[in-house]
Amino acid sequence: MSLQSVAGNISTNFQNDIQTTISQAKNFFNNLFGQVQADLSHIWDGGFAGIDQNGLETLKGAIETYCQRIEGVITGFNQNANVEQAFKGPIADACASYVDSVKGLIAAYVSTVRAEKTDAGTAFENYAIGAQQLSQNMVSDSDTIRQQAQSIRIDD
Amino acid sequence: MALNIEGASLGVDASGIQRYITDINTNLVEEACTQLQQGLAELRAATDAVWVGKSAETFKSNMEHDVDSIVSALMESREALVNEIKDLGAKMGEVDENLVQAR
Repeated sequence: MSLQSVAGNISTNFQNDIQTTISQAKNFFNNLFGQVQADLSHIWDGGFAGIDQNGLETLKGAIETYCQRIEGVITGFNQNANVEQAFKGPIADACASYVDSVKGLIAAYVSTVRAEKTDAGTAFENYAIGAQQLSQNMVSDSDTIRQQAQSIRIDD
Repeated sequence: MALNIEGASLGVDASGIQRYITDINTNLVEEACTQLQQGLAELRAATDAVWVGKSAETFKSNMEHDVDSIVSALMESREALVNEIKDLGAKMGEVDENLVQAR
């Protein structure tokens, strides 16, 4: 084999490696952007989705205010004075039991709403964790892109 | 002065029944429903100020569902109570009518 053909083979192989690397990098980018486009389809119809983490305590405060407002209805109803204008005797007790059951229903509802404060807090936490994980994935992907780009540099 | 509901240990007062029903309706059931629904509107606004997206919509929808459920329960229980009270009042009236046979 002549020196010229060896040099020609080396040059050809070098060009092939460059083309292979560029092709791999292009595939990587295409896959990455294809994935991003697919993920965009999960964003809800409103277009924007996000939280204000600083506003979580304000939301919890609003929920608590709401609970106290509803509880105020329970404490504000003086059943003893009211039923005795209509009934005296065991029937009055039966009516009072009904009112107690209504109050119990409202109290159970308020308890459920208070639990929503915890749900909101958990949702906000998970949102932040999810965003952090996504950003870490992007950093990792960026590193890979940088490495891919570095490998096709032919100038020093 | 004749005995009235205030001084009685057993008894029923027809106008008192009506006032009691109105009281239950206005000051307990309707007041609760009003506070539930008005309060919910404020809660929706508070949520929108800090949280937007599918999860926020589900959160608000869950609260609305709970309010609808309890309002329905209150309305149904009020209707049942009002019917029961009226029925009791009528039956106590019958008891009174039949306590002493006229000669």
